[in-house]
Amino acid sequence: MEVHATRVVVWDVPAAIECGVPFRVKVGVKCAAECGAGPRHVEIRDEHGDAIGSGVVGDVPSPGTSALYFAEIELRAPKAEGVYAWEAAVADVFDVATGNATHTAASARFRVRAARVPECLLKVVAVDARSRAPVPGAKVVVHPYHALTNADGIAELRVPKGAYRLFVSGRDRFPFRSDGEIDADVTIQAELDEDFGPSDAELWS
Amino acid sequence: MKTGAAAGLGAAVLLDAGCTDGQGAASQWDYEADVVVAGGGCAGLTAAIRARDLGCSVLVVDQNFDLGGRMLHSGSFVSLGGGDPLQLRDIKGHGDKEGFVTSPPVESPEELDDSVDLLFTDITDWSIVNHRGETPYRYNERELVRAWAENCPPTRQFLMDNYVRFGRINGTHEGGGMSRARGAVCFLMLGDKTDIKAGTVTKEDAGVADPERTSQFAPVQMNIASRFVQQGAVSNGAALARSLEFSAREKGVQFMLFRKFTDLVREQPFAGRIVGIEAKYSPRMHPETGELMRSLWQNGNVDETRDTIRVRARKAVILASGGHSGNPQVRSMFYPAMREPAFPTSGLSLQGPNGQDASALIAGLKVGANLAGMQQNLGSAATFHLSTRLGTRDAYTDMMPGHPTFGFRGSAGVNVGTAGFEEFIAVNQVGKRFFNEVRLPRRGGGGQYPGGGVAPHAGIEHKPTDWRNCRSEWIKQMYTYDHGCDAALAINEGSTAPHYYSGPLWAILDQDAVERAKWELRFPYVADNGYYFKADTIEELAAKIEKGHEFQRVPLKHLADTVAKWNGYVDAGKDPDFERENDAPMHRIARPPFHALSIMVIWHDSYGGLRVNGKHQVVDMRGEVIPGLYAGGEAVGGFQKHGLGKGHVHGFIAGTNAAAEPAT
Repeated sequence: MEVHATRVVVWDVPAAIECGVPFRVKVGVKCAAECGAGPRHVEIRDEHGDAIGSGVVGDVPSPGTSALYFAEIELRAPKAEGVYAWEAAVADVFDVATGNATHTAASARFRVRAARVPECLLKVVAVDARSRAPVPGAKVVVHPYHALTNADGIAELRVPKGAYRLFVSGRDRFPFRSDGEIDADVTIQAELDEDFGPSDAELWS
Repeated sequence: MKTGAAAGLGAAVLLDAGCTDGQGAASQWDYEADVVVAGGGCAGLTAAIRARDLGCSVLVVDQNFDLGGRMLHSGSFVSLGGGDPLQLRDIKGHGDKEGFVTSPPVESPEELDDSVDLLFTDITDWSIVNHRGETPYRYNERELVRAWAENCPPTRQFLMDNYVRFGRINGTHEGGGMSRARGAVCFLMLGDKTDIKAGTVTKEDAGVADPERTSQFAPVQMNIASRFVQQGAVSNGAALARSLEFSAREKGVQFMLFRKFTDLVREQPFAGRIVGIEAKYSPRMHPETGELMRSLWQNGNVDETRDTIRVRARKAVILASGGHSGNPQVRSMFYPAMREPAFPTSGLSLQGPNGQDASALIAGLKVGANLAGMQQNLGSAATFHLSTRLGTRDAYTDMMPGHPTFGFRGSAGVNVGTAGFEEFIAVNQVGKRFFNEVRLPRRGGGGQYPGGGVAPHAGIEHKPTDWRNCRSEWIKQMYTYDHGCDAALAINEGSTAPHYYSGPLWAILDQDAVERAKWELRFPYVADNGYYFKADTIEELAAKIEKGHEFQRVPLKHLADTVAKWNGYVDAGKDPDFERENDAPMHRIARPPFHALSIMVIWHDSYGGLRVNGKHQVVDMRGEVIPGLYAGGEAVGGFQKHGLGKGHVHGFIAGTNAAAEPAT
């Protein structure tokens, strides 16, 4: 009997987690032959290879996928600041009757950023550069923190003091960029220019 | 001897299987007409109507199932000038005689105050730069351009006399001389029925009744043109092409569709008159039904299914069968990487495999024609470029279900715009990144000036008398565009001699990106047609691409590593490979499902071609006119002007002079 290959996918890992705070990730397990993953046990290992969490994949595929069965697993961020390389792993599966392997073992690495408690509130007001109208749904990124603007074009992020690079971007708009230092609560207005690429009609004529 | 096939031809075209070529040669002709036109696009239709107006019988052969060529797909922005009737109309603030144009002029009288001399100077002076800071005009053939400038005003009137309705002048098109406003789009009014004489089109035919449906009348959905006309006006190439086609059929021009022009018949291999053409049957079958496709209108069509026929031209042959942008072997003389067959020309599904295939160039060379302006293909950053429409091979334009050729493309594609490139990584055929994605599609600004609306020109203070229209700081700004297209065309790992292929290219993204950008990855925007893939894991995605894409020649063996590395860059906030952190936010590719959309490089214009004189007679390698042979549009070289304005005037001149030839 052919042994089915297995893949592991990890997602919904927060971009930054306060040190020592619990958080959740999703781990998907996919059989190349798309047979049900069964009750496969997922183990999370830290940078030393020590088990720090586990879960069992469910029997419903992740939305939009054909056969990626997943588990949601609670973990806790390290107590010290830093970026940590962790791993999600599943073991081989064996046929109980024959003892033969039916599915391979697999693993996937992911990174966890443990960060100190952000001290400052960064408020971003995204407006259209020409009309000054608010831009809802704009992406606000101050690495590693990110948010989307609300219906009033406003997003609020808590960020640590220090140097920052702010990007605000949106559909059909060029990214707004601002570099600087942040040492207190601050509001930044991001004026977004439309993507001015020539239309097909202009190019085609 | 006339046969039954001649019965539908009327007086214009006769089948005379026993006739000779008029020179005593023992040629066998299947059809004959005063003027034979190869190609039914903007130059060919114009030439055909013009020759017909002057009393000639005219037969147009076209390789496709319908008329219009790429004009039908176009935005219909016809840039002429030189004091043309439209400029004069807008200077006076008048509307059109039908009362459709009631919006105020868009351009000031100063912007419209034009002359033939100014137009000629604009497009021949060595010192004039275009909107990209390029200086292409010095290479234009002066005699050709002078004739073009002189014929712009009468061509505008000619088009208007043949049911073509223009909105207000609004800027100028690339290569059309940018010191004055010279271009306008063509329109029809939304109405209860499609009636070219009345100037109306239904919402269904215009493609505005349903955002996901178009029609055979207009393969690309028509645009709202209220700013240039009035409420209820819609514009694009259908308003232009269908109007001209209607007029041509009404006036008795005959059309033989599915007929690919292949060869010229000359009295001697390199001497004497051109006396006719050979053309091959090139049927196109409906992609779903398998039946022979049909043109929108059939009056004037000549049905002919023999494999090869010969058509005698009593006065002249006019070559208007387009350029070479669809022929990778010809393209490769300008940029070897564009021999990559994965990268098509614009309008691939509409035109089919024989569109823009260099047929005029090839046939012309066989009878000794000279070439002109071949280097001008490289004179514009728009000739070939990377499209922001992903997930379809026919990425230059959109097209929705409803047009019979939609099935050839299978999907409309998703136009993500330049800004959308921040949502994914772009990889080559082995799955490696090759450029800063957010800079990948950037190129010089658009071409309209002084109409505005396109940065960096928007809001500038234009001086009408300053025809050297680009200040030095603008030039610097315009030269900052990146060379993502060159990176995209680089030799890919995994390609081998003799081809060293460049493509294909893939946008790789996750479900978070789809939701952030609100892209609708569903039919008709994407489909299971080999240009879009979805998978639960990156490894599966790579395998699906390799299996399902017609031009994927090697495995994307690096894709999983590339995504893992990219996610590491995102976590670190730095992209050491391409410094993307300086241009836009970076996003992980982590949440399933994962998606791959094709990224296409498109070759649009053909600027090089046959050399012609001011009468549009084809000239040979010794500088001598080839009697009885004319050419226009993209079949012609020596004039780096993008768009319809070139082709229409070429057709007008060629039709005028072909009709004046003595009958043989």
